[in-house]
Amino acid sequence: MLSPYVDGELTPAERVNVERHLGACRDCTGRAADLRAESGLLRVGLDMAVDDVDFKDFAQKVMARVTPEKPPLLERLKLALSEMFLYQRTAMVSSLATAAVLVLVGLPLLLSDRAPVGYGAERMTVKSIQPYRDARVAPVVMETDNGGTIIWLVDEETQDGSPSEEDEELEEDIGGGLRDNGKGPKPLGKPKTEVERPSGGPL
Amino acid sequence: MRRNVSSGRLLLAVLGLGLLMPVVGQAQEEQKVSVQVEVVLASKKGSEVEPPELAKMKEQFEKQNFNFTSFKRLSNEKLEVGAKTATEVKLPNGSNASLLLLGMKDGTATVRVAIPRQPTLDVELGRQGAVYQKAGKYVGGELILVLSPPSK
Repeated sequence: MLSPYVDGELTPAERVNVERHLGACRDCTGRAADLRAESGLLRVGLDMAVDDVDFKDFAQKVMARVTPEKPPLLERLKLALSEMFLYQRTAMVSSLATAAVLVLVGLPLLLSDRAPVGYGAERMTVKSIQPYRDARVAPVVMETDNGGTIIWLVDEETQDGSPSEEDEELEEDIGGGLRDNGKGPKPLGKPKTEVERPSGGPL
Repeated sequence: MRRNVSSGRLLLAVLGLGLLMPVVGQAQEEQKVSVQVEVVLASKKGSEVEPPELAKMKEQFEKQNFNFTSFKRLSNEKLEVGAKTATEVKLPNGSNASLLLLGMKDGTATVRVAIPRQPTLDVELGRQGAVYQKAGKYVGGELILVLSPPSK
């Protein structure tokens, strides 16, 4: 009972009993004092022994013994994932659900805003116009308010040079779809043999 | 452990190849651009505008002194236009319009539009606007080929 008493391992009731006994017994008081002295000496000796030991890189040395070889990447990833799902299941599931929702909602939005391939320019632009072979009239180019372009061949003639029946009728009425009030575009007459090809710039 | 390492590398290599295959395949595929192509019949017979979206087109034509009263959409399709072979659009008057991708510069494609007995156009594609080209006569009206960015 004295050794546990000296080491402070007794319950309060036991401690009271031992102290009551020590007050009446000289032998036990002497033995308790001896035990205290021995315990102090032992502690000092151990402290001195610890001071002699070099604990530098202790953790690394221990870890090196525990995992002597680094496992492959896939195995480490698998382990990390399984640990995450094991210890943080709720957080992982909610994060994955959020990511899935973001992908499902965000991706279509992102794709819908993207211009299709080849549509790098702001507006549709007619870069050049080449009249068809043996054309007697040059095309008319009109720009609309909303950035559109109308390409119109005002009048077409038959092979022998005379306007077709349909054209004559149209000419009488509107000149091939155009009002004949002097404002609209007019046929530009016979183009040159080598028709200059318009290119670039606003038409 | 050695076996684990080699199987892991093999798996990575297979995954890498799997990811690269579509990229290589895409590079080998012919470059194409999408173009919305409509064929509209404009005439002075009646006052039908079908579908109603063509009201804007009618308005634009009126502002340019055209006096068509009726606009009818005869076809509307999204075409994939490539550089190797021309994409044909059948016109109701029997002729064909052909579209060919001439090239792509800085993300902007240029498409050639050819219609028999009509001027040939080189059109630079853009995100807004449209190109209206007369495509010949048909049942007392005028066929108009409308090129625009593909509708979403």
